[in-house]
Amino acid sequence: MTDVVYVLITLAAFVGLALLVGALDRPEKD
Amino acid sequence: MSEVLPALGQIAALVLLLALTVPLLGRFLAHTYTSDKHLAVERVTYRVLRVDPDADQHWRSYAMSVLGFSLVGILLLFGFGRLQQHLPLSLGFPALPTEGAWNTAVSFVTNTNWQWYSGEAAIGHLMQMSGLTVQNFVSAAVGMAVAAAFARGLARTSQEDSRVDGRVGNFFADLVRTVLRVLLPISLAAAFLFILFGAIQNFSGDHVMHTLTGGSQTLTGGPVASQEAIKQLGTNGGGFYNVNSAHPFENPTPFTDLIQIYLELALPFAMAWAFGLIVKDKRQGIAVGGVMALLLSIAVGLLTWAEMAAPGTAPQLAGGAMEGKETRFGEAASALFAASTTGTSTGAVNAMHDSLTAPGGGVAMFNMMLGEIAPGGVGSGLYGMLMLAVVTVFLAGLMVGRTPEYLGKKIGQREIVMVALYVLTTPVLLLIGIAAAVSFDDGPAGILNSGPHGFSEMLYAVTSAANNNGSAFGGITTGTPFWNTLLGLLMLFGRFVPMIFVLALAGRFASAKRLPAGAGTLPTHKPLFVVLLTGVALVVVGLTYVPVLFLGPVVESLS
Repeated sequence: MTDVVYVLITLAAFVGLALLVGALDRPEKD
Repeated sequence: MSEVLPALGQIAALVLLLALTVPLLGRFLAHTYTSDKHLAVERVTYRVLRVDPDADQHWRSYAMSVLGFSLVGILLLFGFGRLQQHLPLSLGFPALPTEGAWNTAVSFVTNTNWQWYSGEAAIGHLMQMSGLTVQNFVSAAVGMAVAAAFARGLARTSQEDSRVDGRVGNFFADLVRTVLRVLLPISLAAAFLFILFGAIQNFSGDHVMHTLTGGSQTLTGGPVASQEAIKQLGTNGGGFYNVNSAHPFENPTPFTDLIQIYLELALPFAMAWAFGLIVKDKRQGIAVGGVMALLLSIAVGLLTWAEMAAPGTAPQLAGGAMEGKETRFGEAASALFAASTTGTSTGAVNAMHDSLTAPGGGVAMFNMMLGEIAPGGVGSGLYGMLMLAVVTVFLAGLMVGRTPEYLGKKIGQREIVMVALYVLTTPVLLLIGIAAAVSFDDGPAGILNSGPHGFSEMLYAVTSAANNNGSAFGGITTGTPFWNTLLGLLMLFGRFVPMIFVLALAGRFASAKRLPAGAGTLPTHKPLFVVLLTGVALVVVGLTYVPVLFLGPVVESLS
């Protein structure tokens, strides 16, 4: 059970990092 | 004979070795990251990985490749740790506890190599070789790949080639080339050298030895030399044994000690040299490398003084600060190793940092807090220093009222926001980490000492994790769910959040036009810039940590 929790923590962290990539790639507003 | 002469002698030998080899290595690295040709073995690897090495990736795609590759690495290594008892060559060791396996997986994938366990008492040979050592290679290569992508971003311009718009190279080509052309051959040669001078390399388990006094001692064998080479070369730092490079099987002689220090410094300095060649202005690489050398020299000088002068009542009474140090190496070699391992992101130790004098321990901590840019991790050192170079031209631009630019790339609002976020990431993680550690009972529960030294033990742990160093102060037990989880999160975000900002900025630079140098352009290859950049590193980054340093090593020094 705890194993699943740590796998989920890892996946959540990487989803967050991927979202950061997406946010930084957004085109600038003029 | 005075102890000062050998101390200066080893520094002179190290400087000579670096001066002779860094330009050659730098040229080789620049060729590695700019060549269009693939070796046959690389082509086979690309085919197995099913990637096109010639596809020039947009920074976003490059960053997602870094993240995807690292995620797979963490999950695999986590599986290794949890299933260890079923693996061959496990030496009868049970599975690592869940949070411990996770911490170890994150630690090795992020190039931190923080070890909450004693290597010889917890990890079997297969996990050491197929799990940890493999990550020693690829995590180092990931850092170097990102640094190469950043250098490419600065070197390219969409004005000259519209196809490079936001594109920074191919992650998998950079990764595979770094491992096969750079890390493997040098590690192989270094491993043979270590074996030649007494490091062990076998598949033995425990041997019970009977000592002359009738006692018994258990000695553990294993593939040590091969791990030792990449441990130092890749600025990884995770030792086969708990005492790391203080163990005679890992680091048998003062000569191997010097080679270990050389190995951890060689590639970070060579990356700076390669940077100059990639941006087609060798002087830029020399300037950046010069700042790294200057900061490292300050750290080596202060740490050597602190350990050899041995301030404090206990060292004065004992006649030297030899507690926690190997008599084979002595104070000066321990200080040089400590400054190098914290100036890079290595984290290996040949002496117990908990036993460094209070100012010595403070220097080691401050070295990490600077973001490990002196000269830093194999790739992270270069990109960390280049981010500070951008801050420097921005500040200089503000002073003279001109638009700041670096290597002809304009530093606009968006660029400086990315750099500011990069610079703030680690301090935010570190300070939240230490706040969490002192706020919960589980944090101080693991410390050995009370008062400012106990605080330093916790501060060192979170500093080491957030900066992906991995060295331990000792004196603190972190093999608990609280510490393993907290440090794991710090390592994870401390590695990848800054990397994302670096790649995003690389993409922006690659898309930007190159401005011609004008009268208001700050030359970034001259001594003035070297001094400014050193000042920025010390003031902008270093000052962030002064209050927290006062609570630990400074108070301890004064008491």
